[in-house]
Amino acid sequence: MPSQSKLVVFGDSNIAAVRHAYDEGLMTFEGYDVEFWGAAGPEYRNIVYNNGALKAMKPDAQKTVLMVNGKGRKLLKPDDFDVFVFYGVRLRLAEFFSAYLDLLLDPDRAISEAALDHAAAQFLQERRAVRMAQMLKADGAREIVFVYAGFPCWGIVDQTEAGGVLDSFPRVVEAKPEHRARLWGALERAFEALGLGLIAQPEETVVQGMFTDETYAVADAAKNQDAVHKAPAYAAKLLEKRF
Amino acid sequence: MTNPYEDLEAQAFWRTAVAQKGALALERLWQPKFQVKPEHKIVTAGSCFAQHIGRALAERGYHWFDAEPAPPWLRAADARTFNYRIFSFRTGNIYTPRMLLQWLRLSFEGGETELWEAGGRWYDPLRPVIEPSGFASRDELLEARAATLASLRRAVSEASVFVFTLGLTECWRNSETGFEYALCPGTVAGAAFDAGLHSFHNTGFDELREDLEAALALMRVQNSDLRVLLTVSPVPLVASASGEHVLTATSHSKALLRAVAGEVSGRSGQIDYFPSYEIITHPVFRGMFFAPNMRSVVPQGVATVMRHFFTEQVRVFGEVVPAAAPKQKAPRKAKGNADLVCEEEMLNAFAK
Repeated sequence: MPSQSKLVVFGDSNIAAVRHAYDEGLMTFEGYDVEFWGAAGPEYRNIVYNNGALKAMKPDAQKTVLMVNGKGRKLLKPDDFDVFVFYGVRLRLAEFFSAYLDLLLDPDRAISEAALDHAAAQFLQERRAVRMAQMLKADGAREIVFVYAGFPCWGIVDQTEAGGVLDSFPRVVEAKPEHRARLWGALERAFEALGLGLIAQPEETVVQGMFTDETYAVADAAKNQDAVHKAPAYAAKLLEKRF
Repeated sequence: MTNPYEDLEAQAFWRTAVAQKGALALERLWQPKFQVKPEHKIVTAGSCFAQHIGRALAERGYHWFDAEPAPPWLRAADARTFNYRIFSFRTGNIYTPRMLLQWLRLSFEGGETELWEAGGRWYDPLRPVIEPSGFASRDELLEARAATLASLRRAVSEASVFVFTLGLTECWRNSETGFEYALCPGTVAGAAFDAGLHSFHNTGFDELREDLEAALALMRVQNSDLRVLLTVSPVPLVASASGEHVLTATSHSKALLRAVAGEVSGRSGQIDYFPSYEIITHPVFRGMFFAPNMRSVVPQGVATVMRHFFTEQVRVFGEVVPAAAPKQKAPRKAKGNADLVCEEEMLNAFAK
């Protein structure tokens, strides 16, 4: 029997959806031995790339990554896995999309492909997870794929209220697939230039310009006012594009 | 009074105003007609020297009006490469009154121009070097131009002060359409030079004045309160196609532009001339503000120009308090107690 490739799903609280999808058999990661590794919230922010490995720096975070991993793995080293899936990881692409969809939909503004590529590259450079991935890659990681955990779910919170996407960028609801495709293209090129991959959000899950269909919201999303986390079905749909 | 010179002030006499003062103590080189306040929206456009004025005003807390801001996440260096934040809009250099008039007419009256395509890239003859490698398509070029025209409309409509620096009299035009190019075709990517189509033109006084007055009139229709500050670029021609030596061709050009600026500003209380040209180029300064190539202006030159600007403004209108920088809207955060929810998600999935 041929040996399986090794894959780790690394990330923040969004990897919970992947875990559920995997446990529920919505996806199998066929051909891979799978591990999970990461932490949520403040503890995720305590994960750093240091001395050739991703590691949790504080006791609480170390405890969490061990709980998430379940196999006693304290560190993630470049040659530990064939594929590193950076899932969620606070990529916050909604910030990029809201600002740029607003720009693309404004008849009095424009941006060239070349300038957009520069902006996408800079946006990524400002993401801590991307910088960690670059170091991991430079130290020998074979494949790193970023997976965007999805736009906020529609209908969970009032996005027109202060702090909501539509408060600052009401135009984005008019965005069409071609607008999103331009931005995904720029981001994919920027990731590729760094030797990293990107799995974009499937078009069929997008509604209202740059929101995720409510059917993919996490359980009790409305009760918890949680537009961020997604259901296992969403994670499965996203990852089946590649695995 | 026995003669008209008897009661003139010291600055009217060379001996007291210049010879006895020395270059660095000159005063009252400018009698400003209107106050430029920090809160005024100030637009800068024209030849390359205008960008120094815009930057210096912004550094002093004045409201330099960036009517076409750089897109988000474009680093400052990249923004400059793509010609954002150079002038108030992304026109690139506007060297001549005719170019200004062309931009304004396209902006407020519409119209089309020729476009250039070379090697699969598209170039805007109004600003052929605005994109470092040209535009990816004709549509991209037109969208970018539409954005700049909209920014120009906004700048003219909302500005309090429009600073325009006159740069050149020599230009190249399409002999069939009369369209004036920003740069000679063939010297930059986008179009090959065609001697039958691209004709040299050294604009004379009357035409310069008419174009400038037409441009200013067009702006005045949009914004009757707009005040205009004219300057002349002290930067010599990089090359002359006139057949003259580039040094004498420079003198010819600058003399005409200086005369037109004086003539046009002399006819209106809303149009002023600021003598940055003299401060850099006059023999009194012995060329001290030029770099060794005797063309580039060194930072001390720009600083001296701006010192005269602010000093004379204060002398005539009194001290001003720079306005506080406009408050930026705080970055948007996702709603809700995200961290709390995040931890619950993780516990649900992994704590077994």
